[in-house]
Amino acid sequence: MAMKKNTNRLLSSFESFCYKYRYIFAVIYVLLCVSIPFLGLNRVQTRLLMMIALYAMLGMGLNVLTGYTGLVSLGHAGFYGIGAYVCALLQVNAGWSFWPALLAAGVFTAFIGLLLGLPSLRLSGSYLSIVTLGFCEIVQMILKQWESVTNGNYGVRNIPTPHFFGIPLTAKNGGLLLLIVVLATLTALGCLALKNSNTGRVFFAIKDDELASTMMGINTSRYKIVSFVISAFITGAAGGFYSLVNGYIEPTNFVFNTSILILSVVIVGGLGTIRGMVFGAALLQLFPEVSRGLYEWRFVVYGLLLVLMMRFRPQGALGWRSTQPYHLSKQAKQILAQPETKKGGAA
Amino acid sequence: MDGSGHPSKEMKKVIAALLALVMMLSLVACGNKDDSQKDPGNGPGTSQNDPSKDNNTPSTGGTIKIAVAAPMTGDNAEYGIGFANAAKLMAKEWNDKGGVDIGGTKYTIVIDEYDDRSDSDEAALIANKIVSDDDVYGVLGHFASGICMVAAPIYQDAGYVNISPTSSHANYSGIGDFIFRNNTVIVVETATGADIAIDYLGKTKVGVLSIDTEWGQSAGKSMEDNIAAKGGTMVLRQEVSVDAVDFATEIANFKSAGAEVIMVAGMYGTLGPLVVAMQNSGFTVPVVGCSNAYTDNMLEYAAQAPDIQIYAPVAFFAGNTDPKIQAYVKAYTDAYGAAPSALTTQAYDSVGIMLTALEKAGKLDRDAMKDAIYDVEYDGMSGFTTFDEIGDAQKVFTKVTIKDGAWALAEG
Repeated sequence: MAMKKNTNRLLSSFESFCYKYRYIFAVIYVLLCVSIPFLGLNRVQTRLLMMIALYAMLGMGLNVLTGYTGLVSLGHAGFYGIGAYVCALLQVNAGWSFWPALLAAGVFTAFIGLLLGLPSLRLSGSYLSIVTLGFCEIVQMILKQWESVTNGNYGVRNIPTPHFFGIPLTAKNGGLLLLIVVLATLTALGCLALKNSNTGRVFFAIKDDELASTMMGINTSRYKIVSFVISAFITGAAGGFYSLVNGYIEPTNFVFNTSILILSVVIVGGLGTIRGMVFGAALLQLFPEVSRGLYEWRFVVYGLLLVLMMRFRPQGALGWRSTQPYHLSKQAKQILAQPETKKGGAA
Repeated sequence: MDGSGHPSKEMKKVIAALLALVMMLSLVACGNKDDSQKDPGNGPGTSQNDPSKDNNTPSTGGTIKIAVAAPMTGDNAEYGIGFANAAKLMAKEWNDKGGVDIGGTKYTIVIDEYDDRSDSDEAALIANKIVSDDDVYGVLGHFASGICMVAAPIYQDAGYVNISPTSSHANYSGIGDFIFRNNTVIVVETATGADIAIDYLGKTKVGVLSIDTEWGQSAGKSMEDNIAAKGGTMVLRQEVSVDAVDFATEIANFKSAGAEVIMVAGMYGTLGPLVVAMQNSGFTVPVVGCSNAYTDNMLEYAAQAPDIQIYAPVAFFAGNTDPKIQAYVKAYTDAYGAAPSALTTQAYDSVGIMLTALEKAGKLDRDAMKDAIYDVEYDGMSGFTTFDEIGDAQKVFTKVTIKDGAWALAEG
């Protein structure tokens, strides 16, 4: 008990510290990002950082659905794949440039998210998970069989390098890393805003108690779909970026295992948190790298790590409850302030 | 009760902390081992380098590395481990001779193993690792076509010679001039198949049966072309599911079309049940498969179809009476306890090709090595091999057939 209290106190003071100096941290972060091309990272470091940022973004995408709204999806690799294929095919076959293709990937995936969300409304818990699992398999089959469009098992290759005002963004010059860091940062800011918005609060309400939310007058169906759409959009955009990472994509990049990896990022990092996504992605991407020497034992240790995690820290590594003051919107503050003044006037 | 319950909770925490500590220590320990292996540049190959240490002369220039990047764990591990074994055997043979002679200086060969887990992202990561190592001159790998497609551009970009012993993706070798494949090209393979059906067996009316995978379709198409090129007639082409086992309809169709020989673009899982069904229906025309029909499993089916002659074109045949091949099969079997497969043999030859090219180039220069590969005429275990201008191996195939319950060379 005492240990737990101490940990909580430590976390709380750490949070206050971070919150107090948040602008300084933000400046340092931006400076660090801008200097990525000049840090002299080697190929392997660049690759690892890129994958961490990518999976942090994927984690944040799934987090909107699973962490905020409490709907567990086992099919996010499907959204990921759709995003990647849309972005790649628009560039390779239709000659679009990267930026509109990336946006289209997000929007189209969001639309598919809407379609998947509709029939899934009546389902919850493990039933919904099974539906999303089926969705992932369907996407996989379509990518493999619709040869005239997706090129089937041969995959899509020669995906061009994106340019930013004439500067090519490659893994070598750090441009790709910078791109995904910017995308992930934008996603994080978006998620933060979402979390503090009315919509975000509704998501959390649905997660905590759907029946109670309905009784409060919340149209839970609508918000569940919104959650699906936002989640699919982020995941689709991450997929769009992924098409650049290897310059080649094929259906087997987006299988059930990928879904599980994304879900692991969310669960290991801490459901519902943003910091947790970054931590979870870093842990799951770096672990296989650090443990390379273990060969087959790697997976045993990996599994053991997850089991222990679930036993001793089911809320995720960084999944603590914030002790910071609750953020209220300006409107809410006004409403809260009004009766006070009225009361004061009456007295 | 409360007192006894409390410590047990604390105990759990302590155990958890201990476990975590053990795990971290094991990671750190393994990480270190990994590093120490890499730094002196002689990890897995240490024992093999011993013979070469005897010939330590002033002209010994140190070591050069060949990286083997393939799945060492997971579903396709047997192939990856086969690649690594083959590479080590080839390196040992060269090291026993003193190493690679580059402009009068002898270099010891070290094989570095990398596990891509059959995962594209992992493969891209290790490809980046490999090209960060200045001592590596060639890369043998990867196994699956999709993985090769991800890794090859990285090798091409960095200017590292990459030979895949297995990639079958049509565009693989076209990625760049550093990318080669020492694999049987389907067109050449089916040309030999058509040669067996038309010239060797003297038939003209050929039926083609292909499976419905990407490989089966392209192999079937290529058979069609080669039959026409040989002056034969393709009377009927039928496609079956990859896991079909009942061929009654297909056999009846071939019969009524008047096929005198059947060419099959399928694995032994298709070819085997087909010959048994043909035997049972009394339709006993010869059958010509592809190189993947050459497996021990095929023999069991053949035993149930004694009246059907079964042929296949192969680049490597372990039962070949050529003393050179017999010596290789014996060396491999002695070292690893099993006879080498065709794919393993292609990996073995690939390492030989890289080392020959490096020696021929006469300097430690990857560019010159790459150029030399195009000129190499390598009489390997998987057939006499040269590379065409896009980097595809051109091999001479051997005709094999099943005789007395075993694979044997087809005479003539």
